[in-house]
Amino acid sequence: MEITKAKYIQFRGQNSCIEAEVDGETLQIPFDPDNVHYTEILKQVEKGTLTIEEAD
Amino acid sequence: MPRSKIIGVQTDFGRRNMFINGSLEIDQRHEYGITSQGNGSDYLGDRLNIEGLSGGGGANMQVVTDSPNDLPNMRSAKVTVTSTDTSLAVGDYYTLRHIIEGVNCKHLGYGTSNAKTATLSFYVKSSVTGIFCVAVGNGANNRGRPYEYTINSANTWEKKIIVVTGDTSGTYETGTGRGIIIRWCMGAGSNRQSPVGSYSANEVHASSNQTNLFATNGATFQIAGLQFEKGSSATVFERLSVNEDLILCQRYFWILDEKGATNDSVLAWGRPEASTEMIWWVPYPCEMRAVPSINVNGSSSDVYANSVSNIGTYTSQSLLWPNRKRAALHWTGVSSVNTSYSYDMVATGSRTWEVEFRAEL
Repeated sequence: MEITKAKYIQFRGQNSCIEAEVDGETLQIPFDPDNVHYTEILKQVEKGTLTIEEAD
Repeated sequence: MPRSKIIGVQTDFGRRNMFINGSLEIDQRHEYGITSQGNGSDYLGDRLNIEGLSGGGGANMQVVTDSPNDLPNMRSAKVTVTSTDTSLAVGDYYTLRHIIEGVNCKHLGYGTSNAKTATLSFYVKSSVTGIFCVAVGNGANNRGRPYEYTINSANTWEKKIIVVTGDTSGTYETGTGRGIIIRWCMGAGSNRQSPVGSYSANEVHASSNQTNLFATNGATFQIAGLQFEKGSSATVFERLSVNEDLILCQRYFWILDEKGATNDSVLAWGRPEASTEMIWWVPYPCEMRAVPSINVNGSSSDVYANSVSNIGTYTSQSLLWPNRKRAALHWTGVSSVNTSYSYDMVATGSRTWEVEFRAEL
């Protein structure tokens, strides 16, 4: 799974999900440890190969 | 007559097939159209993951109506090579796979001393004859074992039955994660090869005898009637009704759309959060495996918020408050909503705008 970009999205000042480019598609990803996109983001962040940008 | 004589020695009743959509009847993403995406995120029919076309080769992949005589009027998954990879690098692989959720295969006891024998059966048809492989492994990709089978006659449906020895070592998921992975290999470099006859602590797709389908431009490979069941014999293919197959698939993937509509129709209901914001409530057709990610296809000009007196379109949408049963969609930059009204989300044509909910393994 190739993730090239990730950024938080906020609702009422709280992070509500992550928008990321996954295998060439723009996905919005919940903070669920069973979600394979979220676990991959965590893995890549831990490895230092991906940074999640703050929301606008 | 004793019941045992009527039903034989079969010990497991009810649903036998651990594969979902083994009939390949359900293809929510492509609706039987062609895909050529080989990066691991796509599916050739629901639940049959295109794990990868990871070398230089390419293919058109499609669920087609060609099926074996034993399964009349059914469908098969077809791969047609469109660009070759005649010399496989060590890391190359061309593989389809079905990942069985842990809760659906934990009764096999893989990873324990009581691991049970299971049987994989399927029909295969290829323009290329020779030795091909299927492989069985765990979700963590650190256990795997290949099995060889031979395609004897070109362009002819053949039924293959493979008795799979249960793995007594390693760790296999028993919850909602990846349980057992079954792979159909069409070519693999040495990194993913392993000898037949035992499990190894690797991700395994094939043995070194695997034929490289991608050596031949225009080569085809088809599979149908996919079944994986407990026990040492292959029973007849367990055909489900189309709606049973569909709802089982929707635990992992479904699309909010207005499929089949010829005019505008309602997708969801919601309320204004502010004069430029809408919140839409979206219940899922069934409980999903995990809280899903979403992907939006189509133009925002093909969907609008509709009330008794006005309509509004959005500029930005995001996933809000999702769980395994429902979610909300939050629209911002909405034109002209009246905070005194409730609204319908209306799409303007069949699949011109849609939201995919993905909780795949």
